[in-house]
Amino acid sequence: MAEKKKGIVKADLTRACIHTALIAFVIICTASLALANGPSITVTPSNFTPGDLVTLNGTEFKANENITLTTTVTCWKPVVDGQCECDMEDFEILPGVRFDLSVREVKDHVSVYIKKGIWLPIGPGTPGFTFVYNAATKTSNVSSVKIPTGGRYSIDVIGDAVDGAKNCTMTTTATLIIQADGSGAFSQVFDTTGIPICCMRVTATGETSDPCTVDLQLCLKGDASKDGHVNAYDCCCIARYCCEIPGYDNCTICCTSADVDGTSGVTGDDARYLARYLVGLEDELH
Amino acid sequence: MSYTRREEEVKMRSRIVAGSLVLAITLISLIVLTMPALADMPHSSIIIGDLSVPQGGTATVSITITEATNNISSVDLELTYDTAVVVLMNVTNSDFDNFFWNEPTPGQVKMLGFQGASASLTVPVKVADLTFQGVGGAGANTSLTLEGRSYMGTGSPYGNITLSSGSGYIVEGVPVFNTVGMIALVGLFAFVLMVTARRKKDE
Repeated sequence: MAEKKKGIVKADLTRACIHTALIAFVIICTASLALANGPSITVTPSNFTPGDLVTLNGTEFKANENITLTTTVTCWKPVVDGQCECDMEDFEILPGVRFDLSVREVKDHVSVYIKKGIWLPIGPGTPGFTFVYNAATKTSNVSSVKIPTGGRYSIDVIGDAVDGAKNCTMTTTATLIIQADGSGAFSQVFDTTGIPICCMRVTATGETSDPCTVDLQLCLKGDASKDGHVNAYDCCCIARYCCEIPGYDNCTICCTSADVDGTSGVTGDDARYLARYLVGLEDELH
Repeated sequence: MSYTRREEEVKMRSRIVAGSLVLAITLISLIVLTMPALADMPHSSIIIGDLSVPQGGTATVSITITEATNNISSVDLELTYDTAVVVLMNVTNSDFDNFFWNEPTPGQVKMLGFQGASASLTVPVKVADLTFQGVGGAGANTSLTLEGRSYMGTGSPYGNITLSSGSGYIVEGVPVFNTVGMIALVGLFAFVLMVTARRKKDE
């Protein structure tokens, strides 16, 4: 009798498990179908280094709708001598792009210099640019109107850091409006030269479609400072990181890029090895 | 009809001239207005002096960062010169804590200096002393061309950088020490002294 009861309980449990599994399967399938039907963007190639050309392909948007492509790059910089400074060199701006900068942990408006052929200072009052300082969040914001002519630009942003800050954050947002084709797809190529190897996010938002986002991981061996270039300052950053100089920490230094000498861990030897590599005394970075 | 066309041409020319004037005034205003602000922009100057090397001898020239609105954390430089005129012997005496150099191709020197635990440097900063040997004939010369950049303490490169290149000249070599000539000269001098002393004695 007891065995019969046990058998019934087992059978019930099995049935319940099968039902649960079936329901879960149906939910997963429905969700997958729903996701498959929504807009999506893919990046080709999936792994790249600054300087590569990258293609963003979007699908499942509404036919011929306008899509706002927003590229956001966030980077962290050490505060040195009370100043924080971020720069991006020779990066490409496509015609019609709108540009926004946001620097946190600063006392006032930042000073901005833009180079296209020659350096030009941009400040509050410069036509085409809006400067807003938010004292509560200690954030300086700079917005541009649509930049009519594309091309290669460099930008240097300097601000006085708030007292006690060890590092500051700069977020750069470039917004471009493009149009999907008749099938609701788009393809946009962009050059990653000069883009800091920080956190980079691309969001595509249609007029009626849901927004979709892709996070890109840029990695450049030797670029410890995460500015998109390998140079003498990276040696300086590695050495200062090893000496635990305030501001040179895991936030501002990319340890994966800094470990170049083939032995595990970031040490002063990595700084020296990178220096030797840069003057041609070493053949490759490990 | 012809008169109207001429009139139109004259009008068109006037418009072009007026347009050009407006454009020129706008550009000049823009330059004048932005000049004071540009003066605030971080800038740096790196110079290499002129080198005068005796034929077959050696001489030293310095590379110095003479001007920098902020401090200097690191530097990347490349120097090119003509190896038919001078040859690099050594690179020494850098103000940077860490300094590396290499000449991967004859006539092309790569230099890199950076501060580690120490604070960034303030100008004047000696990048290095470079010792050259003169291998060309007397009067031969080469340009000492500098390229590269320096970086602020914050890590940003000085976007506005002036690199002043120098020149290297070969001068007539110092004559080899002539022992026989010197002995003869000393002997002649002694003889003159002796003659003078004897004359004085005779008097």
